[in-house]
Amino acid sequence: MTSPILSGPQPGLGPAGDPGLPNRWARGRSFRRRMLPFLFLLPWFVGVLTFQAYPILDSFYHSFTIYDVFQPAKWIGLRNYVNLAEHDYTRKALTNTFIFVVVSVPGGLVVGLLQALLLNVKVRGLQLFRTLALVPGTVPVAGAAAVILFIWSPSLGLINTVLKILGFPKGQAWLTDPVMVKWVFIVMAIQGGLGMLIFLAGLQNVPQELYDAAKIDGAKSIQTLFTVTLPMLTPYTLFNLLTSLIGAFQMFSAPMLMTGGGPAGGSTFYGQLIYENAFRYFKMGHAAALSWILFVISMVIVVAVFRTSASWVYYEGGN
Amino acid sequence: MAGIRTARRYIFPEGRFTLGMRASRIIQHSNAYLLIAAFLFLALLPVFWMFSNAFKTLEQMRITFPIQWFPNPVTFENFADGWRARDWLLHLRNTLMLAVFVLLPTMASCVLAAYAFARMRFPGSELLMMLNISLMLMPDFVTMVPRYVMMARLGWIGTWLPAIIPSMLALNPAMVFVLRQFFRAIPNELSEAARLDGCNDLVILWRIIIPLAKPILALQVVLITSWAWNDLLFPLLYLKDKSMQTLTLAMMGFIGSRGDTQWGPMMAMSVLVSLPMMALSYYGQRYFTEGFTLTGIKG
Repeated sequence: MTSPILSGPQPGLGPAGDPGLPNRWARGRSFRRRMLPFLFLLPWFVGVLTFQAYPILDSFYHSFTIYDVFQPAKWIGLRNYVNLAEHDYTRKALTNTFIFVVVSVPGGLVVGLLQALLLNVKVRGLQLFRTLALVPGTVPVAGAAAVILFIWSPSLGLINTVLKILGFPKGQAWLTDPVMVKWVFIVMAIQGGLGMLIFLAGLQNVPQELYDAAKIDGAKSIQTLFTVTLPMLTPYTLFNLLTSLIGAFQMFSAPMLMTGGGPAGGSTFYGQLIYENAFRYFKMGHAAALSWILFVISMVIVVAVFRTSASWVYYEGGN
Repeated sequence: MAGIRTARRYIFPEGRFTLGMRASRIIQHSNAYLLIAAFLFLALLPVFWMFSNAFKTLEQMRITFPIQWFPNPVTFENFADGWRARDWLLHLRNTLMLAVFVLLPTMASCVLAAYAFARMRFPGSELLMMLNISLMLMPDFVTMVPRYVMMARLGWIGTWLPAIIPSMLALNPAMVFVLRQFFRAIPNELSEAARLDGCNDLVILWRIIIPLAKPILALQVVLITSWAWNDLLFPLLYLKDKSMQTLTLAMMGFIGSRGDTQWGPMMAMSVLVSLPMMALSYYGQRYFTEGFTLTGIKG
């Protein structure tokens, strides 16, 4: 069970009895000395047990019950899982989340990659361009939500104005249409993703020799892209894929700020689904089942991270 | 929630700031400028539009064609209207309070945990670090409901305790991970010398490790402040009371109560709410670079 994240070189923490270390550190440590790390970790331990492990186990138990906080939980077996999508509201939110994940995750990867490739072209003023490209990411979500709401607004919005100029005079009621509204958030997620930064980092790590070799072999730029750049970027692609997958399930603030999940549940996604089930409808059992499904999904991603980390982890203390 | 985003910033710090340019001859230069311009135009358009419309009169906002790029005439009325709609100073104070209440205990407990992980040998350390990394990747929504019920049972709703107490328990796996990475890149000779002089671990941590880790700690200040400025879930659950609402929660009410006539004040307040955070992020980037250049010094 070793992973390169954990087993990289650790300065001064060599194997026991390492002759380079003072004896009293390596051998014959007193009881107090041996307990010291655990003392340092005590808050962390308590935190993990009370605010991470306990809630996960509690959700597991309550996911098999009907529970509204006010009355004791009632055991109903697997019904919460089996009937997960029996309510129209839940079904809609699950569908929205599915579409969101399936479109925005790959979309964000492709767009992020294109942006990174673009900001990696050796042109004058590149540093300025990169600085400017980072500006939108510094706008807090409340400000971004307000202005994007404005841009997509049916009467005064920029999008409908552009559509009008392009010859679609009718425009679209984007944010008040239960079917269209999720696409506003999908576009927002694709454009606002952080994937570009990771890819840009990856591009810096592609050895120049490979490009030179490809050039000597007479490869065209498009061939170089597919035979050198993209294969060298796969670790970063994988990392982006896994983190954006988890990020997709975390999406909450933007729809809450902009539409409150509406109209008619058209922009309700997974996080809000748990939130509303628990705190609006007091269906804690249902919320617990949803939480547990999310827990299993994130565990699958965690395992994938550890299985593949050898290929993508950048270790600061390496070399 | 910030976990993954922060984590990947840390794991791949280089691309963002090491602006060493290596040619990728994918796109010909002549077209490159055009494409970069188009990309930057699209990326910056919403930001520009927010600023531009904050200074427009209602009449000018109503003109959708041709597109009114710049406010003419410039008005400050939107700022005055937006300012009057809510007690923004109170919300600013709450946001800063949330940041401080979370930041100080989190940092204290995470520094201790990170030191143990980075500098001490104990059975199970690798396994526990793997657990920490797993927690880093776990969405907040997984534990949200039982945590809330727990806090409610303790009678903490409507107080600042839900922000303070969990923060004392190092509930920021990303920060633990990042600090640990940084701490263990600090040359061991320094702390060994101090140890031979009779310093214990707490003294070494306080006198040697923390001063050297200042850039990464400064970055944590920026990140937690940014969290307090951006997060909606925590305030929705625990700071619902009018007197405790943060800026993001106040903006939610403000946006939610909009009519068509409210766009101007909304853009104006978006500008006011966004500017401090944009400035802080820009300032934070310096620490970001510094933090990771420093680690590079070690052999």
